[in-house]
Amino acid sequence: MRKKRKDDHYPFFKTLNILPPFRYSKTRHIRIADILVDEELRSETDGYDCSGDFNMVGHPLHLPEDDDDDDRFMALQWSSPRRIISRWLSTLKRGKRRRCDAVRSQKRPKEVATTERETGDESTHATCSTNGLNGGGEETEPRQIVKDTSSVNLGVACGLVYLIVASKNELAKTAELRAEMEQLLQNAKEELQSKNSRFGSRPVESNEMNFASSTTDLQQASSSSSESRFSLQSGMGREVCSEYVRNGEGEVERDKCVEGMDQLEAELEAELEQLQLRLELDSENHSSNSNYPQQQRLKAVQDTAHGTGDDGISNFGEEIDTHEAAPADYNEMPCDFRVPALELERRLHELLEASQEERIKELEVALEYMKDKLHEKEMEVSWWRQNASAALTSHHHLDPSSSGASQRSSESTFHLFR
Amino acid sequence: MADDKEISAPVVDGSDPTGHIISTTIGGKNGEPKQTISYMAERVVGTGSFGIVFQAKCLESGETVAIKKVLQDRRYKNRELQLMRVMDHPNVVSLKHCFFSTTSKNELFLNLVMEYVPETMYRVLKHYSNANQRMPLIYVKLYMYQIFRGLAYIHSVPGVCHRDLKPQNLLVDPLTHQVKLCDFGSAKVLVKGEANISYICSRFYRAPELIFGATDYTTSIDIWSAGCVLAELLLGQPLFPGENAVDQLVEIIKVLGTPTREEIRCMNPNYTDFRFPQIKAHPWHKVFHKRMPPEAIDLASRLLQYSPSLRCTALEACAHSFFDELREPNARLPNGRPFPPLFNFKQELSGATPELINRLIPDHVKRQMGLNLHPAGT
Repeated sequence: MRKKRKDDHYPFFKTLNILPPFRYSKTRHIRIADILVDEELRSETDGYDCSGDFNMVGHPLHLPEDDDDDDRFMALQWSSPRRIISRWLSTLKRGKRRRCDAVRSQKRPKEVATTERETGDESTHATCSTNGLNGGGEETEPRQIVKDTSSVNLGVACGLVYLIVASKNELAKTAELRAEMEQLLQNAKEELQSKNSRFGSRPVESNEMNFASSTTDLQQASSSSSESRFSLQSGMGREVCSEYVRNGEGEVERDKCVEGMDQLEAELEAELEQLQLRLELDSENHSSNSNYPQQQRLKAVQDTAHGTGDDGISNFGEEIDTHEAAPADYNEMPCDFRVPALELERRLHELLEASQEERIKELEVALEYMKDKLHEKEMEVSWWRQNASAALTSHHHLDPSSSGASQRSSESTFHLFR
Repeated sequence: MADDKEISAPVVDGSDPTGHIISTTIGGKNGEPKQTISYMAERVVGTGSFGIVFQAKCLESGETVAIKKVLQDRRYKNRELQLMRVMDHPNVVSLKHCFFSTTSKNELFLNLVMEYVPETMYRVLKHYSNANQRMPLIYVKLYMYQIFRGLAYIHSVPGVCHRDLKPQNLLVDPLTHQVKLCDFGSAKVLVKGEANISYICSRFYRAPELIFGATDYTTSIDIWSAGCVLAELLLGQPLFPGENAVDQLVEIIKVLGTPTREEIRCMNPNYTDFRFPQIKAHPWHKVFHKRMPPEAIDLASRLLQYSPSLRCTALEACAHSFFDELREPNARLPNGRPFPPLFNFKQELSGATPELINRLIPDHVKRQMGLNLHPAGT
C-alpha cells in the first residue's frame, strides 16, 4: 500500500486495478452493483478530467483498466444516460458560476473519499461520500424551490435515492473486495512464510504486495480454467482465457512495484520446470496460448501442495488422466491420492463415539422407562401386600362363620378391581 | 461396423458449435466415391473436463447424433476413440463416425459422432425423485440388467474397464427403455500387473480400493459402481454420498462396517498396519425399505463387497435371481410393448460356465434359437 501511494496519484484506481479481473472471474455475470461501482468510478474520473471545462455529454473515459473487456465497456455505455440525467437534474438550474462551484464541491468530497479509501476504512468512506452528495443537494435545493419546487424536489429526491442506493451498493462491494483482499493477503502471507528465507534480504511489506498481486492473477487464471474448462475447446473461450491471463500479466508489469517481480517470476518458472520434469508432461505449447497450460500446471502444484481439497484434486486427477497415455506419469501420484489413514481413523473414532453416545442415550431412556415401570410394579406389590395382610388379619380376627368378614373381603376385592 | 469408419480431412469448424454446420468427407479410400456429410449443431447437451458434447442433425440422413468434441493432443492417440472403434454392443453407445477439426488457433479437435439417446439415468432418477416416487421395480430390473450386460461385454470382449460408471453416464431411451453405457473418456484396457491411476471415477461411485489409492485394481471397480447405481435406483438417492474422499469411505463403513484386516489387504496392503476402530455393519435389509424384495438386497450385497475378488462378475449379476422376472416367457414392459433385446449374447459368453449360460438364456429363448446353444441345459 505505501508503495502505491508513492508512485501514482490515483491510488484508488490502482487498488481497483488489481481487483477487477479477480472479481469478474469470480462472478462472471454483471450485477447492478457492478454497474454502480463502475458508475462511481466513471463519475470520479469525470471529476478529475473535467476540472478544466465541465463537459457533461462528452466521454472523457480514461479507465486505466479493462480497455479490452467488452462486457465492462458495454455496461458503462449502457449506464451513462442515467448518469447524465441524474447529473442534469442536479445541475439543470445552475448558473455558470454555480456550476464551477458544483464541480469544486463535488471534487472535494471525492478526494476525501479516495484518501479514506486508501486507508481501507470503508465506513468512513461511506459517510464521506454520502455527505458529499448531500452537500451537493443542499446547495442546490433552496435556489430551486423558488422556480419549480415540485419537479426539482422530485428530481433531487430521485437523485438522492439513487445515489444512496449506489453508495450502499458500493459499500457492500467494497466490503466484499476488502474481505477478498484480506483473504488474498492472508494466503500470500502463509505462502510467504515458507519462502521467507529466500526473500529475506528485502522488507516484508513490499514482498507481500508483489506476492498478493501475482497470486490474484494465478488464482483468477486457475479458477477460470476450472470453471469453464470446456471453453478451452471453443476458440472464443480460449481467446477469453488467454485475454485474462494477458490482462493479469500486463497489469503486473504496469505496476511500478516490480522489484521482487522478476525474482518471483523466476521462482515460479523454476517451480514450473521442476513440476514439468516431475510429471514428464511436455506442454502442448501452441505459441498463442502458452500461458494456459502453464497456469494449469501451477494449479496442479497448489493442489498437491495443499493436498486436502478434494475437489481440487479431482480436477487435477482428471487433468492427469487425460494424459495417462504418457508413460510413467502416475508413478509420482499414488501416495498423493491415498486417503490419509490417520484422518480416516480419527473420523471413524468420531463415528464410533457418536454412535456409542447415541446408544448410551437410548439405553438411558430405556433404563428410565424400566425404572418407572419397576416403581409401578413395586407400588402394586406393596398394595397387594398391604391388602393381603389386611385381609389376613381380618380373617384372623373374625375367623369362624362371620358374614361381616366375608362381606368386607369381597368389598376389598371389588375395590382392587375397580 | 467400426472398421469402415474413416477419419476424414479437417474441415471448416466454428468456435462455438451451436447453430453451425459442420461438414466432413468420408470414404474415398477403396475406390469409393467421396461423400460429404454435414452436421447441423443444435444444442450443447453436456460439458465437462473432456470437452463438449452437442446434439446435431445429419443434414443428409436427417438422423440425430451426439458429437463429442475433445481437444486432441497431437502426440497421443485418443484412447476413447481407440476403444469406441472396437466396441459393438446394444448396451454400449455406438460410434458412427469421427473427424478432426481445427480452429484458427491451430488447435486440433477430435469429433466423435455417436448415436443420440435422449435421456440419462440421472434424469430419469431425478424425474422420480421430483415426483416423490420410487422407480418401479420392473424398470430397476430392466435397467440394471442392461447395465450388467453392457459391462459384461466391455469387461470380457475388449477387456475395457469403464472407470466412471454413474447415472450421468448411462443413457436411457425413454421409448424402448434400452440402456447404453457412454462416456469412455476414462475407460482403459486394464492389463494385469500394470498399475493404473487410482484417481478415477466419480466420488459416490468409487470403489473403496480406489479411495485407498490402489493402483492394481480390476474391472470389479465397475461392479462396485453398478452396485451403487442399483442402490440409488432402489433408494431414490445415492447410497454413499461422501463429501470428500475420507467422508466417502466413512459413508461406506457406516453401511458395510469397518473392513477386516483381510479385506483391507485385498484393497490396499499398505493400510493393513493401521488399526481402524470397529464399526458394526448396518444390516442390508435396514438400508432399504421394508417391502424391498430379498433378491434386490441380496444382489446389492454381492456387488458391494470390500474384497474386489468377492464381488460377482457382470455376467453373474445378469444371471442373478433379481432379474428372473425379465426371463419369464411373457414378460413385457408395463405399457405392453416387448422388452428391448436382452438375450442376444455373443462373445461375452465365451468364458462362462455352461450352468451360467443356462441360467442366462431362458428356455423360451432357447427354443426360439432352435437349441443350437448347449442343448445339455434342461
